[in-house]
Amino acid sequence: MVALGFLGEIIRKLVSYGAIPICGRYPWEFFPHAELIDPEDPVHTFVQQFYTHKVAWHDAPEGAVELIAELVDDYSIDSLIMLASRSCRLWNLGQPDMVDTIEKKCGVPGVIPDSDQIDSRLFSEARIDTRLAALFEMIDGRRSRRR
Amino acid sequence: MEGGVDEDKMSTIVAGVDVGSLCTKTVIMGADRSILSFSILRSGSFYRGAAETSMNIALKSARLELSDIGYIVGTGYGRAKVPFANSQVTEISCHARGAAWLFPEVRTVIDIGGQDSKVIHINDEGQPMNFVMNDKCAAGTGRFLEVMAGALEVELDEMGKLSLGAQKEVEVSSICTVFAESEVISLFAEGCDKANIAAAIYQSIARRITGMVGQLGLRERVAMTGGVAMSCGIVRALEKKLNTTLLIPEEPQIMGAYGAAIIAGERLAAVAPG
Repeated sequence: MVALGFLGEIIRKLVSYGAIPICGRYPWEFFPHAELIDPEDPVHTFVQQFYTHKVAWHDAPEGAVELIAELVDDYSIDSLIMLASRSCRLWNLGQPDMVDTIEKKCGVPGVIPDSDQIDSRLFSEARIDTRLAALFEMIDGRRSRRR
Repeated sequence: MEGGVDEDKMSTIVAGVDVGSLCTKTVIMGADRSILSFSILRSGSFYRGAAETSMNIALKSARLELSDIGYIVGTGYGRAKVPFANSQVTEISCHARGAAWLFPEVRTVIDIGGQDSKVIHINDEGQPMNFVMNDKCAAGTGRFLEVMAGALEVELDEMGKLSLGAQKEVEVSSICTVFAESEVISLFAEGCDKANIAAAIYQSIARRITGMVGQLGLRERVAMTGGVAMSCGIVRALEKKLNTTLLIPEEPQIMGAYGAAIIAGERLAAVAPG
C-alpha cells in the first residue's frame, strides 16, 4: 500500500525493490463507489461520481484504519507507506497512530516519509531512500522469522 | 543488492564501511567476530574517496590488503558510494545488528548520528521490527551539538563534562537548530552560566529523542549508538528523561560499520561453498 510521493517518485522507487504499490487511501476514500466506475469509460464515470455521490468517507483516522485494515486483508499487503505531506498537515495528523494501529491489528509495518507531493524543496531523495530500504529490510527480516 | 564474491579468494575476514553524512567509519572483523582494526574520518563532500581512505587506514592498521577481505557491506547515507562493497544495507539494520551482537538483551536502539537520529525496535535476533527517524531538521543530531558548541565557544568534547556542573535549569528550544543557536547566544549575552546552557542543550536533544521513543514505545533494555553517545551530557539527560540506564558500546561511533561487518560475515557464510 502506498501514498502519493513527490511527482510519483516514491512509486517509481518501489519498482526497484520489486514491490507493487497495489492500493492507496486516496482513490478508496475519495471515490468509494468502485462499482460505479465503468472500466470502458473510467474518466467520465469517475468524474460523474464526483458530482453525484458523497466523497471522502473515511478521512478521519478511525475510519481510515478500518478501510486500510480491509485493504491489507483483501490484497495481502506487506507494508504501509504513509507520506507525511508538508502541504497537507491536517491529513497527516493521525498518521503515527494509524501506522501503530495497523501494525497491532494486522501485523503489517509502516513508515512515514516526511516530504511533499509538489514542493521539491521538501523532497529529500536520500532520506526517502533510507526509509524505503529499511522498510524492505524489515519486511525481509519478518518473513525470514516466519519461515 | 548483492555483488560478486570471488570464491577463489574467499577469506573469513569481513568488513563494514559506514559512510555517514559527517564521518566515515570502517571496521575489519575476523572470523571470530573480533575487531581486527577500525578507522574513523570526516566524510567531506567526496564519499567515494572517504570510503577508500577509511578502508585503507583500517587495512594498514590490520596489516591486510583489500583482497584479503572476503565480503564487505556498505552502509550509511553514502552506502552506494563504496566502490568495493559486495552489498549495501541501511544503517538502521546495521546499528540494530551491531547493538544486538554486543548487548543481546537490547530491544530498543537509539542512534544519534551526525545529521539524523533514529529509534529502532529490534527482536531477539537483532532484526529491526520498527523504527522512526527525525524529519528534515538537524535538531536532535550531532550537527546540532556541533553548532551549539560553536555558539557556546567550547570544544564539543568539553561540552558534556561542562553540562554536568549545571546548577540552574534553563531552556533551549528543541524545534529548530537555527532558533536554538539564537537562544544560546541570547542566554550567553544575558550572563547565563555556560554549564547551565550546556545542560539545556542536552535536555533539548533528550526531549526530541524522547518524543521519538514515545512514538514506538520504550522496550527495555535500551542501547545508544552513534557518535553522540560519546557525550556524557546527552547520556545523562536521556537516562533521566527516559528513566532508564542506557547501554553504551565502548566505541559507539563505529556501531553502524560494526553491524555492517557482522552482516557481511552472515552473507559470506550464506554464499560460501558447502
